[in-house]
Amino acid sequence: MLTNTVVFFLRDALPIFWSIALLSLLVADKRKWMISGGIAGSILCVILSLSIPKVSAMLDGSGYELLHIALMLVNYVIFSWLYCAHENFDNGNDLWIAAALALACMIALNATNGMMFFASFWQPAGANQVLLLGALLGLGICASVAMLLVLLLDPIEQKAFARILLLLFAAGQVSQVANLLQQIDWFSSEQLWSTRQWVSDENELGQFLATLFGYNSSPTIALTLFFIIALVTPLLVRRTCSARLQNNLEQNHETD
Amino acid sequence: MFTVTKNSVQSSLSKTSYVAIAIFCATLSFITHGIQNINVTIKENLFYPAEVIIPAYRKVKITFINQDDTPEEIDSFDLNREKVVFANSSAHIFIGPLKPGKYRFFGEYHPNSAVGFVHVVDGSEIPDAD
Repeated sequence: MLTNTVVFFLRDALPIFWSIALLSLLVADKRKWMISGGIAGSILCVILSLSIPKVSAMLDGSGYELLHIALMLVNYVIFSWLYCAHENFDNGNDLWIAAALALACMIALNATNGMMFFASFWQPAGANQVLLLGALLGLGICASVAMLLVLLLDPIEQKAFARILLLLFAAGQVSQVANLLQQIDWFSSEQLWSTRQWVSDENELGQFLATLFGYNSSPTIALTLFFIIALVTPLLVRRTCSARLQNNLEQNHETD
Repeated sequence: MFTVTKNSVQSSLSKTSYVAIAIFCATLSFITHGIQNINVTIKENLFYPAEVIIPAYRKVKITFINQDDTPEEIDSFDLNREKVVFANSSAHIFIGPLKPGKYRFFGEYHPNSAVGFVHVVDGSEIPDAD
């Protein structure tokens, strides 16, 4: 039970802590977006936990998947926007609002399962201590990983690496949409390759890589395509935006 | 006069949308009609049957019927599937097309007891699933 709880926590809580670490490296006003995003996410999580049985039964049993897909897409759009957002926006309100929204979506996406897990196993006496210990251990590991990332990258004072990590994280998360669409029979796709013999999704390294860039030991063609498109699109958008901005600056300079 | 025209446009639009929905549903039912359904019951945190046999390179629907009073999350790293089956209810997932082999799935809330396999086989030695 203890191991299960720790593994469960690692799987569901690590993406939340990882996104907090990345966002804290990129977005100022940490207190603002962390508190507002945390509160909004917790409220959303409670609402979802209470209504998820009804939502799941909707649309011929595809409600759960479609809700997850919607949240994943919202998250991806926000993360991509944060990746593309130029340094000029750093002092505006837009960044912290986007960060708060992203955090709220991440909590809603990942913590709802955790809430259901705890609701199922929480008993008046007995297994609670093991459950709490497992949760604390899991939280401790997730917090340590997030702190390590911030401590390693913060002194560099260059946002480029954190941006790339954010983009990899966003692409990895949104590529899971392919699996969910296949699960509800919107399309089918065959397995492309298997790297299970080297790094299994079930061990700690596999879990960490899954959080880092959506690692999957047996990806389908659709999943791989989703990942590539999700990764390349913001890169192209940022490049185009930067080029336009530079052109405008040069034109302004010439007119002056 | 304008109201009549507007109404007629609206009615033709709604007719078109009804026809489109009907065609979509018919296509969907045609596509899903040939898909084999396999029932797996969850009872006392165990899967019955614990191993399901399906044909290779074919899409299959697996319906999990949870008879327990607690929810279970069906998880499979091999199949890339994850689905919560609530207490005393059922849920389904689609899998495949798959290469021959054994694919593990488990209940994330009871990973030690709730373990099952999807055995994908080539050829015609597949027994009736239901």
